[in-house]
Amino acid sequence: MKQVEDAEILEKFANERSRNEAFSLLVQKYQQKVYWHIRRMVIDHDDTDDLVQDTFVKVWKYLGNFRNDSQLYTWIYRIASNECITFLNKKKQKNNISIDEMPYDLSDTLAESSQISGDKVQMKLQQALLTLPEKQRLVFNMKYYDDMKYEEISDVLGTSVGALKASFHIAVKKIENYLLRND
Amino acid sequence: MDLNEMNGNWQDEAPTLASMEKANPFTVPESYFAEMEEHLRRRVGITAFDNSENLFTVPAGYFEELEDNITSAVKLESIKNDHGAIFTLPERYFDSLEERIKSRIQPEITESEKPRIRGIFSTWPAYAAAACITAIISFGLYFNLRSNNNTIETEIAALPTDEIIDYLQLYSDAGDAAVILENIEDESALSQISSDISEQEIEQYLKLNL
Repeated sequence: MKQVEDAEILEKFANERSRNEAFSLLVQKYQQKVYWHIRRMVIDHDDTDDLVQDTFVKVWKYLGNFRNDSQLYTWIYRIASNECITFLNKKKQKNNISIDEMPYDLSDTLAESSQISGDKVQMKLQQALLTLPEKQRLVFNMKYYDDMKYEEISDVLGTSVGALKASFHIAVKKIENYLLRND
Repeated sequence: MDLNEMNGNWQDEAPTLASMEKANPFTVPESYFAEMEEHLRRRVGITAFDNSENLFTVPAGYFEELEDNITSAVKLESIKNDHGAIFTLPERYFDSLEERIKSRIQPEITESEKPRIRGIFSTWPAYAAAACITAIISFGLYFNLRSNNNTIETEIAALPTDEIIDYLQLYSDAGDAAVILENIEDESALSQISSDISEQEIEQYLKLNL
């Protein structure tokens, strides 16, 4: 299926008569990307579902204000990433969990979730990822899983390309060490 | 290591990670993505409808009959206009119509525009008569009431004291005691009454009425 261009979505959104169609195109194009971006961060499917909906509600609400100085998908990723960070911070406050304890809480979710395949290697990688700070995990996920360029990740997180490269490099080293230790 | 060189060679520094397949360990409920758009529509509040379909419908055969309907309507309109030609008018009828109507209504206007002067003196006997009647009735009522009051007071004053005492003994009750005591002026009269009535009778009266 041919991928619709962002420009076409924005054009259809601008016209009141084709706005409904723009919504369909937007969701069809980005639902999976947004979902997996959030799921890798919050692990639980139901939490992810809530955040996906919140993300698309915000995207739709503010799409009229979107300016073409950034790409549509980096703008959507930025909203999704902010939703993740806000959610994880709220979870820490609600459960009175310290930053150090947060990986263990998500690790429990990972172990208990029914929506996880039984691949032990992949489970170990996810456990390794949960040892990273949240922003570093975001950087790693976008680089490793989504093959995004550093410039694009920079648009999403508002961090310099150099800092992102360093962050990714450190993340890779931490994960490698974790995998070797838990072999 | 130069930061710019980090992009491509992370696999050398993390061979274990590099050897792992990029797979997704997470799963989603069946038809989750298929239903996502509908869920999101409900959240965002967009009514789902297809713009390509026309929302409005027309009765069956509307467009087939449209030409005939228009032709009939045009014919009907022309017939209506032709009816106006059946009737004729005298030449320059409307030119003189206004003048003729004015000449008809002019006497009525002149008559109705005459000022009507009502003399104030023409009504004074009626007002005077009403005032006299009111005064007579008021005086009559006033004197009647006064004379009635005088009669009642005079009659009470003329009654002998013994009759009043007998009346009170027969008809008064405990509630009247305070009024009676307040109005006793003559103590000798009271002592006279007391001597006529025995103590036993007074006790019986008090038992019954207090």
